Amino acid sequence: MTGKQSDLIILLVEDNPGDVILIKEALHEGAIRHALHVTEDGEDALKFFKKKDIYAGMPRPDLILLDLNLPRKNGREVLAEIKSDPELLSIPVVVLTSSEEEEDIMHSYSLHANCYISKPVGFDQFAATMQSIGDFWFGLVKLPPRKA
Amino acid sequence: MRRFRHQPIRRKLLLIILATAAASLILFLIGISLYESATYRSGLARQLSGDATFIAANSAPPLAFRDKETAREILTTLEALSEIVVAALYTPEGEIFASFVRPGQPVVAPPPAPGAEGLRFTDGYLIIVQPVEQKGIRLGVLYLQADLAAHMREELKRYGSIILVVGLTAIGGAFLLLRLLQQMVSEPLLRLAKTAERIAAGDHRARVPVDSDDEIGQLARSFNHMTLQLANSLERLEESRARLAGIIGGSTDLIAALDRDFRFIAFNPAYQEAFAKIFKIRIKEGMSLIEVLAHRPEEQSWLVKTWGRALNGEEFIIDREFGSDDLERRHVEMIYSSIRNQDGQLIGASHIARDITRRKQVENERKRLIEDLARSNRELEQFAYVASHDLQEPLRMVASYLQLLERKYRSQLDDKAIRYMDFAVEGALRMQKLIEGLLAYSRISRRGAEFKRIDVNHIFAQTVANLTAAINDTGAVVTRDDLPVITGDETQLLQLFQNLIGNAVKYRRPAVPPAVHVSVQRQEREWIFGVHDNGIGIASPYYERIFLIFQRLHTRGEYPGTGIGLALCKRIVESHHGRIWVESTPGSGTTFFFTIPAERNQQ
Repeated sequence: MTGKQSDLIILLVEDNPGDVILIKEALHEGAIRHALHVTEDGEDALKFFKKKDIYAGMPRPDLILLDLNLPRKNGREVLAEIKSDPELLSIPVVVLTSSEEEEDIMHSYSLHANCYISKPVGFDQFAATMQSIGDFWFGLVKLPPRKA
Repeated sequence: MRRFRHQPIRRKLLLIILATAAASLILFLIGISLYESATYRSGLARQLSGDATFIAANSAPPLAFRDKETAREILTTLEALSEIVVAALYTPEGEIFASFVRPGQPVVAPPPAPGAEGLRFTDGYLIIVQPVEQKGIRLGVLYLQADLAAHMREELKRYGSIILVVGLTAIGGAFLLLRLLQQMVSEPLLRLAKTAERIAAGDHRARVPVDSDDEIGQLARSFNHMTLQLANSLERLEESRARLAGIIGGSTDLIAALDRDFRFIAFNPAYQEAFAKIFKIRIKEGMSLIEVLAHRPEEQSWLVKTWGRALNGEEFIIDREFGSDDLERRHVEMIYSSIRNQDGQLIGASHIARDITRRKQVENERKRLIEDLARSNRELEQFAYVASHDLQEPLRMVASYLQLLERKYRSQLDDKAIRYMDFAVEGALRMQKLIEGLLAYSRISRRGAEFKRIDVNHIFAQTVANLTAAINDTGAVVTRDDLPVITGDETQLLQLFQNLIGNAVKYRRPAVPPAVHVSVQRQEREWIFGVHDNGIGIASPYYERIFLIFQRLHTRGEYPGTGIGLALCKRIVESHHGRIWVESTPGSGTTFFFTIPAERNQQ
């Protein structure tokens, strides 16, 4: 799944394989050149950043799509660790979850999530949502320059 | 004087009478003696003057003839007069011619010179000097000396016996008088005293016989009157005491009073029984609370402290459990107050305690039930929330993948397959709406409303704005009264109005543009809102059922909907402490009424 050097590198942290496929399909529908990496829990996500074990040699992601309800280390903990690590905190994190709880929303933003999106019902909406994310982060927004 | 005061009246009277008799007797005697002495002196002087004249006349010849023998004989005749102690005749030249001296008395000789003529009293003696003359020729001088004292001694002896007789008679008279007085004064007084003693001993019917009209009789009458009054008030007092005792004695409240030394002054049977039950001690009046609880130091210290507060003048109510084992464990509510005498001085404290064990049990039971209910409610809401939340996930998968299938493999499916898949997607989306409704429903109380002051006119405006599409599509006219400011949760109130006005627009009659009006009316302490429409109406059998969750009166084909809207409305109104109900005429319109408590100080 490693893309070319110019492709945008997206890390998806998501334990539900159904959602993983939906997100992949939705990203494909959009016209964004990207390389998608997936980890299924919080522990693996942190290993990915640290390039540990099987993640040795993995690139630094340009964008993180983070689910909140994860096994082992949940999304809130992962978010907190990213945003307290000077190496990682500049990477935009999009919280993508099925929760519409006010408390989850407030908590995510207080941990410096860059945005919070509820997973929509239906593929059509899902595709539209992913398109919006792509347009915003990879079209409109200037991302920080890549690091080695 | 002190001793006199302690004597009985009888003796006092005796002493007074005797003293009076003695005093008058002594005064009488002094008077008599003075009178006697004066009378005697002048009588003696007169008598001796006569004697002297007689002796002088008889002494003239012997003097003239210088016959001393005869002269002495004449003088010696004076021996018969016992008063005369000395008699003498002097010659004109002043020499003693003849003399007589009574033997056995202090004067032994006549004086060398007779002294001045006449009569004089000297040193208890009467002295008479009389010239002896014959035919104008002075022949000599007669000297007589009489002893007054001797006579007086004799007189006194005589009076002494008189005094004895009179004195004895006086004492006898005094006793007689005393008996009389005793009958008149002392005895009635003693009777009075005895009666008083009997009354004091408790015989309130005792009366003093009245047998005179004098001061003592009056006293006895007053005494009897007083006794009657006393008996009457005692009787009334006893009656009221008995009444009170009946009330206190019959009370199931535990009533007790202590004096300042923590001793029981009074208590009722209920108190005694409860005390015995809890502390295993049967108390009696006069017992000390401190002593009887010596075996229960913890409760003793608490009770002494609490009673101590009341004995210091504090008044208060307090709750406490007593007794150690569960069977005897009693919950008691106690009211303490202080007891003061008429001068306002603190003399003790009282306490009225009520055994509220049963009430407490019921209270605790009720509290427990309410807590259980609240917990079960919370759990149910949590369950509804979690359940509906978790239902979203698989639903999302179903809907998303169906759509994904349709997109990717549309070319390989026939029309039938596509239609079936549309049904499936539609079902999933509808289910999602139901779940959203359920979530909203369970959130109402799960979140806890944030009440603040809200202008309902704004809520109305926002509702109409949110419903613009439906209003425009149907050509509805939505109007309102001037709506008040109320206290409530803004989001919930918006949901409420949106559901009610939305329904009013939705359930319209075919070809009749909806006319919706929101009215309000103040009734006592609440606002009654009404949402009136000219729609299809609701038949009365369904007035209650429409507020139940998932209850629908129409097919989705007729009117779309989830059956959650009115259940949500009911929940919102109830969370605002109001009521909701419906009035309707099928075929001509419906009004939903709901109440919201008015703010205080608001007209």
